[in-house]
Amino acid sequence: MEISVRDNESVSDMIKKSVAATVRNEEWKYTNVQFLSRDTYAVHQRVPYQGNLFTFSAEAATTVSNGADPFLVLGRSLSEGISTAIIGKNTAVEQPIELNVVADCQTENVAQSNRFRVVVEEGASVTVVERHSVNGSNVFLDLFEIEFDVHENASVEYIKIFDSPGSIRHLGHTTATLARESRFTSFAVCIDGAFIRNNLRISFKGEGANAYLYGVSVLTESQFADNHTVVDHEIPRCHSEELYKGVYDGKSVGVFNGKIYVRPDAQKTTAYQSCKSILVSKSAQVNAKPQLEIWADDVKCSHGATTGKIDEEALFYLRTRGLTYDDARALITYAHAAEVVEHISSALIRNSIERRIAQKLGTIPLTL
Amino acid sequence: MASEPTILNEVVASDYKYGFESNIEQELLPKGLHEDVIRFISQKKNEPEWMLEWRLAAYTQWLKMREPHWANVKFPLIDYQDIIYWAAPKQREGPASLDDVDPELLATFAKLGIPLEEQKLLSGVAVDAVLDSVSVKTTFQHALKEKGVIFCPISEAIQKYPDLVRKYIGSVVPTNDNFFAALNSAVFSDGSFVYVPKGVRCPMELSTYFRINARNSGQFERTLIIADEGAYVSYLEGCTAPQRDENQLHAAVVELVAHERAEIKYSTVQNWYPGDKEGRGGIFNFVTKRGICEGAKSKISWTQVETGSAITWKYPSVILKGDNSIGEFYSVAMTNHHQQADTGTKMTHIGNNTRSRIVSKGISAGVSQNSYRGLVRINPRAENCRNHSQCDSLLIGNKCGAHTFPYLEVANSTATVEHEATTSKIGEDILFYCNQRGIDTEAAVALIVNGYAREVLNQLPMEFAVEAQKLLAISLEGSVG
Repeated sequence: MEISVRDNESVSDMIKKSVAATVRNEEWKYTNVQFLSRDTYAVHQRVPYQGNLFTFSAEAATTVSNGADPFLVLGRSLSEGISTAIIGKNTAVEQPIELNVVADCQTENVAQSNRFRVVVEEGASVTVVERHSVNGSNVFLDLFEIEFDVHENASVEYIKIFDSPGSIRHLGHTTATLARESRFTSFAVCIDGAFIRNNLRISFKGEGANAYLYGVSVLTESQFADNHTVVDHEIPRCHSEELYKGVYDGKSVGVFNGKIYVRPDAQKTTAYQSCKSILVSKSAQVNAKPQLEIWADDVKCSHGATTGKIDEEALFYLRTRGLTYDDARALITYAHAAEVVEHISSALIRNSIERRIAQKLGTIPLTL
Repeated sequence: MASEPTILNEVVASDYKYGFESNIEQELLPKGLHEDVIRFISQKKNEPEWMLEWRLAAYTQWLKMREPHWANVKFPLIDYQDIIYWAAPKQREGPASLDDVDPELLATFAKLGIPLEEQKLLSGVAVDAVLDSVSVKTTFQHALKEKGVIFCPISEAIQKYPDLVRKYIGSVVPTNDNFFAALNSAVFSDGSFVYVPKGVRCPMELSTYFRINARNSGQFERTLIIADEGAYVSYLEGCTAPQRDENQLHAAVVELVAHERAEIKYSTVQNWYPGDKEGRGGIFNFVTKRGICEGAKSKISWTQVETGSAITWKYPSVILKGDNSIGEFYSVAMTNHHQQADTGTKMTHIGNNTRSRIVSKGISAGVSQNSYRGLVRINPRAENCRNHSQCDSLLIGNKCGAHTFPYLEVANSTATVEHEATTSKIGEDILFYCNQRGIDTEAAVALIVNGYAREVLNQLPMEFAVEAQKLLAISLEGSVG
């Protein structure tokens, strides 16, 4: 199972190096990853994807640009190659592509790096569902990278789900380059997971492209979820919308960092961003950093961020209608989270996520 | 309305209005910074031993620190050995009345439009005018004295009220707070000191005009304002610097302390020389301003109109320590040509039921860069805190930039924190509407910008609000069309 690690560097040393690179790094201001280097991990090979959509090609560690994310560098150096799927011109893939990232952690801590690439050709459309889970009680260090190359008029729906208990430590990178008139919708659903860091980067390469980024985190205990998004408007006349919502109970911590860049001459850009969090318990915490950097004038951009407790009046209203305090609280937090989930187009996936959220918050989903 | 284009035209023709240089004989120290310079400044000021030691300790700390470059501004490395740390106008022995003051100096103030004489009485403003490093003339001392208000140059306060100064100086901005604060602590030459005793409402607005005059001299002023229990004070600060080719460094420190039920209102109109149209010269304005709401129900309010400086690096902050205390920050930052501004605030909620409000309006024109950077922190034990932030940016022209970097750290579930920001340009349809009604484009832009900034300008005391409006119009010069 062990793979030889390049440059004669032990895995522990490489992890230590990546962890060290996050110290005093603005991108890691609210995310402490020191604990990652305290454990040792056995490196498992990638999960070969079952199915004929993806073809695997071995690839020597690709170089990354200077200043790249330290865990992107780590993931690349641990990965053996990349699995690529090409969705042909004007093909509408009916069934969602399921990517299940699971590690066998029954006997030991495992580190694993997976790389995927999805090319969606002109006019094609596809839904990709990515699930991360742990099999066993040990730790899974999950290094993951997926690239979407979305061609003209193509459309992608991408749903990333963390919903199984276990000690997952996820460091993921998603990038999407969008050609003219294409559309990319992304969901980051964090219902269970010890440590999740999602990096999502959207680059507009053609006019008239649209990106919709959604995220929902429903965390308890000492769970941690960090969503870093970058929306780079390099081209005029593109549109982006972001909505990230969270419900934080126990000692959980949520981090949101959303960057919107509007490059010089990317005129007629519209970019909106919103991050709304509810703190349920006293010890929960949210650090938000919405960020706009704009170098063009004929644009409409806005961002909003709110963090607060459950609306007392809404609670009171429901209690006058006979709900117990706990039921009222569950209903309100569920409604808060469901606002994101309802944008998922597949009813099957949407319902299953709604059920999981409702279950976690102790209520019943409204759509059943 | 008719007069506004005239103002603009005048200014387009005149370039920087305050770009004259006073030929007052100056006493200068050679360029460079080392312990002896600090000793010299301290000796010149006739300071007690503890003050010198405090300065030297700050200097030792400064030597270990590095110039910060995290802000969204670009500037060449500053050679701290190429700065004059002491420049004082030479004068005859202690001027007892205005007649004794160097007439050139008075003319300088007249050009700045500071009513130092009788007009002062009418407008009811007491001025502590700082020209380079020495406070020249302090008026209204007697009227203030009756109420027990202390308003004097800080160098004088060190002599006369050493206990007060020693107790509070560095208590809000410690010497090792940041690079520029440490530098200021080591070499500060003068500044203002205000103490308002218990229950006193300061009978007039206190005002200071800072002006950098000598070539290559950095100005490091230090302001310390203390409002004791139930006191109220409103403090105005205005800044202007003459036109020059080299960049000048301005690293001030302002500390505010509000005790129980006290209120401090601090207003700034900053109009340092912004550099010419090609971005040559201009002031580097690296300022540390912080207030602490020490007691319950106290309030600190910062209002700033920033139109000048080549680079502004400034975050007037409030530490909300007392229960039910209030922090406010109102800002208009206008950048044109090659100006860069990175400004905002920090609201640190420590006490229960503390509230803060942030209203920031950025206006970028030309090829300037304008950033808002703010932190709202709710500590774990701060119950029922409330914050609302609003930062809007207006872009004029397609070569400028507007950036927002808010940090929201909430560690208590009873808090309500809201942040919103928008960025847009002046709509074509709005301009068209104005044109249709006979208002030319330049006047229309001035009208819209003034309306946009009104929420903040309304916070300024009357006499400043008028000046600030004119400044905004002036700074828009050449940005339209």
